Amino acid sequence: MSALQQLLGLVHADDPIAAAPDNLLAVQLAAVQQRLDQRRRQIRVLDQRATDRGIDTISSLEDAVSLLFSDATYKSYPESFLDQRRWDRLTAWFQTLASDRLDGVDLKGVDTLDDWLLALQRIGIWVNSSSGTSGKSSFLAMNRADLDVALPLMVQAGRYTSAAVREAPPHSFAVFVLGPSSASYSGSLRARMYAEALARPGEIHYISDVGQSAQEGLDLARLNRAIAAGTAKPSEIQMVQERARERAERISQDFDRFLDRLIARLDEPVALLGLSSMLFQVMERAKARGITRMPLHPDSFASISGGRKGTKLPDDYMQQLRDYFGLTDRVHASPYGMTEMSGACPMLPGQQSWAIPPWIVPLVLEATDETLLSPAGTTGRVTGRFAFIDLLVEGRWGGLVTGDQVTIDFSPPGLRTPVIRAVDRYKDLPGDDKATCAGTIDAYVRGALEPA
Amino acid sequence: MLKTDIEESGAQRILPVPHVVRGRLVHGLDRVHSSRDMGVDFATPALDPDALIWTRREPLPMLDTPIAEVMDFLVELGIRLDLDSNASLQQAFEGMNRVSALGPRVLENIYRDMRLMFDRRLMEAEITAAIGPLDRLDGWVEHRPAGFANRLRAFPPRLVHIMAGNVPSVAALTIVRAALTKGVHLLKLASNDLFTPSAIIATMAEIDPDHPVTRSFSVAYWRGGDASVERLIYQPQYFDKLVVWGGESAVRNALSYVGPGFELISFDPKVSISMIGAEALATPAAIAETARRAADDVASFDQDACSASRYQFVEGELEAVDNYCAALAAELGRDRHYGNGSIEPTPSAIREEVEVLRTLEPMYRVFGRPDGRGLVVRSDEPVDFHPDRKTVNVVQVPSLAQAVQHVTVATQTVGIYPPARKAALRDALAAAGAQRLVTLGRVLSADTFGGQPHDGIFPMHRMMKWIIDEGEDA
Repeated sequence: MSALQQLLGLVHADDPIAAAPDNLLAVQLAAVQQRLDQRRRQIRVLDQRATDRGIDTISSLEDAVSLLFSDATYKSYPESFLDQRRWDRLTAWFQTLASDRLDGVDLKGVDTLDDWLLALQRIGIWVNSSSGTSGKSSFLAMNRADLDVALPLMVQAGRYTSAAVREAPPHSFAVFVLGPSSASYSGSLRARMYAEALARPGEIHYISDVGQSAQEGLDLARLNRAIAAGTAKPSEIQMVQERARERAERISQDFDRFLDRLIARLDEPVALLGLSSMLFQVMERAKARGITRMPLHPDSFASISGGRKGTKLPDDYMQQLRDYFGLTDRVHASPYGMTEMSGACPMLPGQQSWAIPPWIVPLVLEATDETLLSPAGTTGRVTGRFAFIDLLVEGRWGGLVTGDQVTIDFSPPGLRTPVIRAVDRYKDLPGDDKATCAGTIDAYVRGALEPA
Repeated sequence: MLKTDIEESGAQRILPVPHVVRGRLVHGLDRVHSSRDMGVDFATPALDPDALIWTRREPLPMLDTPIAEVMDFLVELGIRLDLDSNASLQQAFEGMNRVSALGPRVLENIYRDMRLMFDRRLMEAEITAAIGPLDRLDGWVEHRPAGFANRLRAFPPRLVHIMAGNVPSVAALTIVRAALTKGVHLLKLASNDLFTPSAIIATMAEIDPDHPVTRSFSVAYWRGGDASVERLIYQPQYFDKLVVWGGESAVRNALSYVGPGFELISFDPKVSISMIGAEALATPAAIAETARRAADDVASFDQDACSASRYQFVEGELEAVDNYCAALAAELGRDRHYGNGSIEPTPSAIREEVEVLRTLEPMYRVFGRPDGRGLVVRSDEPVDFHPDRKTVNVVQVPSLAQAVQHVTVATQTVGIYPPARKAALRDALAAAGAQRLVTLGRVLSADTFGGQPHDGIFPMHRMMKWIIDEGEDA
């Protein structure tokens, strides 16, 4: 059995952390080599990077560091492709980062970004997108194998942390998804799969039925650029703002219905799935109705992720949520993950710590350069920029530098893989004080519109 | 004398950063800060907020000093700002090498050239253009624009200057202009230039510590945005205006303090571009000359200045444009007076985008390598990333007139070549938002100071308090 097969086999283990091999790092390095050999033949940008850096063999973690991509890689398409709806050009760009050949995609009749995403789905490619809060979305390829493994990984991470979900009979929850019922990105598809795996028939509730269209997000980003360029008219800005307001109002009405339904099910096990920032909004809305606490049934399951993610949540948001909804250790799981990672790192029950599954090779880098702070043999805690090689992902290269600052414990007592002890986003940390008059247009133009 | 020798404090190596209070150096290691840029820990004296302000009850030191005497002093200061003999300047230079990414050769050129601004002819030109007759700075001058006998004075202001450190010459520029206003000035240091302003004021004190000009300046560092400091002193009771050089966060932060009686003069973040006509690429010799001029404009202060060109809109056939790109990439690898041929490798965010674009040839073509010697990306639409650290986006356009659509209110300098193309473009560029036009290669021309507008305004004009006395005089 190859090193790669050995690690991929753990996807179906009950406890992949306990099942990690003794010589984990050596097995991981061998698996990285296998993945590199395979992907270089498929992904032009990776091959070019490996050639530029002269890396043919992975003999150390340092070698792997030179092969990491970043968010910038996955948003490197020129925005003009989207503005001008040049789907052929966008496909050509996407091909340089995807493992599978996209030749078969049929772009006839493709008009909007949503159409393009659907056209790719028809050839078995799902596009994973980071929510483009900065205006530009990243696009990451997932193929059928990635989609097939997505549900088992979510189930595995939930069961690792929460005794309630482990002990629950199949299809026994009323499921409340803290997100919209339809969206063209694969994130919403995964939420639906997870909800369907947990829910009693007819008991999946979404926060809103107002769809989240990829093209709408794009139009907004485009308008922001038009405002910057001075080509947008005040009436156009007003129209978009009005549309956003109407949309927000409809979402707000759906939100109230969602809350009514949740309140009606407090005496039965429910599953809450979604982002902590959304659950915080649910709490604030319930408080506004005069409800001082809303303890869930003790056999409930809450998978709440996302951290504070650039939102204005208070420091103690998690404690507030735990108190308000009665999220005991038995109920509560907050996996740490991101759209760029297969599955997630499951939370250790009752701790703000996350076990790193054996198919994720963690790397801690200097905040601003490629210096590896966690070479082979590292023990104890190391703080720095989180990077990883995802050995599981099939649709693209798995090496990535993230925007997160983490503290990783490389010798956690009683566990066979490293553990993440703390996570912050660099964006949320205080910036440096280097003043310069050279700036970007985005920085200069005031009054940019926020995504609705 | 300014001192910047590294102090060994326990296991830590700490770079001392002095403050200046009313012309007197204050040394101390009470507050430790970190310059993340160059990874240097530095320490400043504790801040005494009372020492940073001038109350409105005490007389302004320069109020009754004739402007001629102020200029005499500044001329003398210029003579003393001699790197070979001025120990404070030498110390500042040593300190700058630890906090500035510009490197010793460029920093030395900047330090040697700073004194050129202390030229009486330039100072008089600055006043004449921005204020009018010099005596408006010295007293109440008869002013009868519509025949009524009024008296006008360009009254000395109380200013806080939020300094940028990317271009250290700005320290000298700020101090000359500030002194000519005859007001009082608090200079807030940037973490990438912690020394130049203090060294200049220290040199004033070496000439005469009690001179009214010397006593009109204070210099301090606190972390930009530190409300515990800024809330106390950014008040109309103490200061009239905030002069901000800097990026978005500095400007946004400053805005939160602006209100009636406390006004903002903002040198905002800007982007600069070049426009190159087909005739400038007609022959190999023309391409070489154009590339040399263009590289002068790109590489100024290692492209970390708002005037440094980032996008170049170029007319011509693809082959000529590509030849030009190759020549430009090569030129960028050469040392220039205010720019380094080789800097640290291109930041990863740019490198990774360029890496992908490189695979999309012929739609895009990349010249040079992300090794800090210069990178040129040719495209038919501007790239989405911010070209920085010696990265240029050459955009092939059918005509320069069509390139005007890419000019916005955030466009500062437009370098044009050949110069004959300027006349036809000037009005359209200004209407679109551009603020300064130059012949390609002249971004760092010596005539920046001395009666020229900056960012669309005459800074000294905006700095003054224009006070009128109307009606009969006694």
